[in-house]
Amino acid sequence: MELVDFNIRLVPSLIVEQYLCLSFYHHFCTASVYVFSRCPKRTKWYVKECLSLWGGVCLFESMELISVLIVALIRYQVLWDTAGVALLLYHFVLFSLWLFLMSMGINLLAIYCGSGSAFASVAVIQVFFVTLLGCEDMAERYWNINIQPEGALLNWNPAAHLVLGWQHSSLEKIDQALHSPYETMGLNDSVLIYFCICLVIFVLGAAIVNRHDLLLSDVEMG
Amino acid sequence: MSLRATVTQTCFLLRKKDAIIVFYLLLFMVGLNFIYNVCEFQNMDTLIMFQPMKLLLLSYNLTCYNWDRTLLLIQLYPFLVVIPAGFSLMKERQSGQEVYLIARMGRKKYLWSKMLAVFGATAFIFTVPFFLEIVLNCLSFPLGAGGDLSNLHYFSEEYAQIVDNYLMTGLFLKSPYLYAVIGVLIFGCVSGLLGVFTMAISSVWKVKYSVFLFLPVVILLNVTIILNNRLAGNSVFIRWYDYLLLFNEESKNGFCLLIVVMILLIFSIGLVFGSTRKDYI
Repeated sequence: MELVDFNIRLVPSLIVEQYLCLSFYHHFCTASVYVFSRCPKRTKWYVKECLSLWGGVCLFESMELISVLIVALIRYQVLWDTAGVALLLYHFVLFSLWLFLMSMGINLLAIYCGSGSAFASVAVIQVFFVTLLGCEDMAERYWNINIQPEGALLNWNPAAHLVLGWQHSSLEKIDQALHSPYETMGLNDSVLIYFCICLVIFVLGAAIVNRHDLLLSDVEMG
Repeated sequence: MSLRATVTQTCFLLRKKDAIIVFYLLLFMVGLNFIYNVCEFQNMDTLIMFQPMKLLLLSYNLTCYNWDRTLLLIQLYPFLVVIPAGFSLMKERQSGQEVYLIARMGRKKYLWSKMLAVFGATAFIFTVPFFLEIVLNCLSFPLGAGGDLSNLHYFSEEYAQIVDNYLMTGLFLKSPYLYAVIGVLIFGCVSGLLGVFTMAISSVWKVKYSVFLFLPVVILLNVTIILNNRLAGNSVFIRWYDYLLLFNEESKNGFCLLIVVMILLIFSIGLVFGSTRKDYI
């Protein structure tokens, strides 16, 4: 049931997603005719909105980390070292990319089915991936298939890349600090995976924004 | 308020796409759990077989053996409970249906019947799949089996302590089957109340985007887990799933559940009452 605690750690991000998921979706609900008659180049408008969303995500993550640091400085004795600072940066990048990915997904899905349904769908997918975190031995349990090396299945689970303690690093100091039980997941690989997924969603979003017919219906009105 | 209006609105809510999707999702999870139990425990001797009611998806005791599906339910519940009927008032207001219905039956009758309909529809969706599982388990597994999934001996002190921590211990000792039925009814009623809570908030605060209506229930349920973790060394657990899931072994106070339910009920009724007295142009 530690996964329930892991899910609780993602709740602030989930709440912020509910706000960020409207960052460019709300333009489709309110004055879309006005917006796109003023900005006929939709791709340019879309890139600007994505940058604005990324700014919001970075702001939230930095505020969250600063709050945690302040509380840690007050309650405990904090020792600063290179590995710790590097891990802090990795945490910032990984969680920012995750939040950006989720918010973009909800924004784009909301264009077709409304903000409520889009958020519920993405939240269910997120919960599903978090539940799968504990099912690393599922293949062995259900189908008697032993997958080697240990933790190989976790690479396919996007939520697993959020757990810094399961990953290794090419830098010795960080590797010593993490003591990862698995050899298959790397911090740099996780950043690259998230970046690639974000890029795919970004390109898909550009295609959707360019092709979606805005005037026919407002899905938010039911 | 008109019973006919309530029944009509309940039937309407149950036929909506969102409600059907949630119902079939719960049915799917229940079915998956049942099939797993049958495959795992078939040919098991009655003397060592586990109590069939402890194999339910709603059973916390199941997490001692295999926690995947119960964990999935715990994590999905804050979102699923809002979807079937929590958005109905907001959507009817935005589409203009509210004006038509208020003109036909009056604002008070509309809101009170809507409240009862939301409660009824959500409670129905969150009880029927689990009742079905109870029936299936009774048909598929030996009714005389009494094992516990924690593998504690039936006469051990630890087991006695665990049973003592169940809500409605007396009922469990009398009949685990009746305990499961009443437990599912309580689960359904609390789910209905959470749906009403969401609807009541939307009756007072106009929200343009339905995504914000997830916030109250998600925050309420997750706060119980966060507070429980923060109060280290507490003797009584306050996590919502410790009270709503069956056969939960953590120490709890049933009075807490009653207080929270009463507060939610009074708050929701108060909000709806306030909304009936508001004027809208």
